[in-house]
Amino acid sequence: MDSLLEARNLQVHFRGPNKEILKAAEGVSFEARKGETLGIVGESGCGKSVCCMSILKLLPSPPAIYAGGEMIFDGRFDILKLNKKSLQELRGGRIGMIFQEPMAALNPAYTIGQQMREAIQLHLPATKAEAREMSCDLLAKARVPDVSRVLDSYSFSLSGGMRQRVMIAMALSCQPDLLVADEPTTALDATIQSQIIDLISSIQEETGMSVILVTHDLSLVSETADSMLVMYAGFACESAPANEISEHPLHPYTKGLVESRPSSRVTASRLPVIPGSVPSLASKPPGCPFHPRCAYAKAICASQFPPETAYGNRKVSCWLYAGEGSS
Amino acid sequence: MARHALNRTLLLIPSLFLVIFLIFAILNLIPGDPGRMHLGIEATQEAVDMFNRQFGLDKPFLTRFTTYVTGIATRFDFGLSYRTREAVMPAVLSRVPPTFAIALFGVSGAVLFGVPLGVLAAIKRSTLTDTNVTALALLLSAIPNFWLGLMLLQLFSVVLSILPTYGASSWKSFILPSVALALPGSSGFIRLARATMLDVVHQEYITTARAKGAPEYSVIWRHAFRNAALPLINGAGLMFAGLLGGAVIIEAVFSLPGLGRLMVTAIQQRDIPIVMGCAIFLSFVFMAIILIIDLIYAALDPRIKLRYQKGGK
Repeated sequence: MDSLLEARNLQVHFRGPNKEILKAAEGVSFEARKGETLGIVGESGCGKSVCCMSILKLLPSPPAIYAGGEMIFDGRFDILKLNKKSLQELRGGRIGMIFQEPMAALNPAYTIGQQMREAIQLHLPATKAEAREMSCDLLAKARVPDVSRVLDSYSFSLSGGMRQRVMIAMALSCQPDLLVADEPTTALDATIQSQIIDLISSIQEETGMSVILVTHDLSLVSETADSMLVMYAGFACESAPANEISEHPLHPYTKGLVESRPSSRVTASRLPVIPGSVPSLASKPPGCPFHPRCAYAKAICASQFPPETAYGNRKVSCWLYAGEGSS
Repeated sequence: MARHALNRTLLLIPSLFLVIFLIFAILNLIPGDPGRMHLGIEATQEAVDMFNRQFGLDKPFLTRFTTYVTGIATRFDFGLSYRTREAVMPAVLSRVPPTFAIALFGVSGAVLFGVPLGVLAAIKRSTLTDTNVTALALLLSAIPNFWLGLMLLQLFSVVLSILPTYGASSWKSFILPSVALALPGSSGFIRLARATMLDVVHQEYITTARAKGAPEYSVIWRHAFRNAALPLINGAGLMFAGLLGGAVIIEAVFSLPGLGRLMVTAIQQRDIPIVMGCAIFLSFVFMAIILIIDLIYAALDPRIKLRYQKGGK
């Protein structure tokens, strides 16, 4: 399959309050192939959203600094080097995006219809009536009931699930090649979560678009994603086809994530947990950032950052596998 | 919505009645003989008695109040000035235009100057631009408007002689007083616009707007400013209402025949009917402005509009 979006060695830094450099993404690489779904997984504060926002260069700069790396779209150009105008054409035109908090992501001062019309008219030459008709179709496709009433209402009078459907409809308004979903279901309750994921998958089947799904819910991704990237404290621990990650996790952090997932098969009284929590960007430990929480940590882990080892179509950054790889 | 507006307007009537009662009570229950206070210590008792009889001041409090309110309600009659024997309300209203003009221009100037600067500072947060704008706001807030007025007079009227020094004879007379009110007043709008914009620009819907591909000016003005505008409208309305009664010093500096000076002079001369007329007029304008702000809020913020519609009003 062809690559649609390829992040190569992405480095995003923030300038901290005391002018120090905080590294939110350190050499992260990932690839979204045409028609496939890439899942990005990790605990909160791992740099998932930073990577996600970097795809459309949406992080406000300052304080964010795109310190290095490339974001190749369609094998042709680097998004991080685009000028303002081309970037605006790309945003919402070829890449749609949905966010974690559907409540906060819709402007409270405008009706849903006005906001959808804006999304359409920014990229397509449509009259007001045409835009409304398109919005109706899009909302219907996102399985929003009572479409014309929703178009005339404001975000605060809709339920959370409905708002996320509206966001999806809006992100799809110009038939993008890529949908970036930044934790689209985190703020929703469990039954709505699966509906939204099903909706995204079915639209993907219909249109053949690619999806990048960011989440901290491993089971959600392993069901829907084709390939997966596991992130920890701003670096990529492991990337692999989705089914292989949950069957044979390589990186100790991935193992921890897989084991701490509730499962109907195992009836252990307590779920295993990864001890400790994600370090803040300002207090990242030297060497492998995961070593203080890692059960397999060796002396070298505390001093040197692990190299990336390739196993066929899998990649893992851990000293346990250093020098073992094949390609 | 229209019904809500009508209801709110009708509510003004009882409020106004209460205000009239309070103002009347406070000014009429001041100890001392009003005729004696007005005519002075050397007037004869006959003159004082005659003055009191002439203005109905010899009657009991409630009778006087009833007469006053009936006069207002039936003939729009607020009594006569003790000093000039003129009808109060026409005298008050004749002083309104100059004050209204400088208050309106002053507020408009403050908003037009302050809001864009505040928005700019918010967008360029933590940069040199932000620091400079914030410093300018601090400087402006430290300048007293009468001092600025005198400096402007010195420069434009005395040295350059292009603008008049006093009076309200042409539109030129209003330029300097308006500027003297606008510049110090803009400091509040700079800070308010900066603060409300900072609140709004970090909201997720601003990122959504950018992710849709909206150009930056549209993100700032259409998406962010629209949500930050309400406190600014409130600030502008209150500044306007405040200036109508509170621009006394600027009126004095520029010798404008305004409302503030009428009121201060009337207080000095114990011309109680004029003081009451001014106070009632200003209360009414204040209430009207707050009502207008409320209605603008409802028109601009769909959340408030919805609440009114749900209430069936």
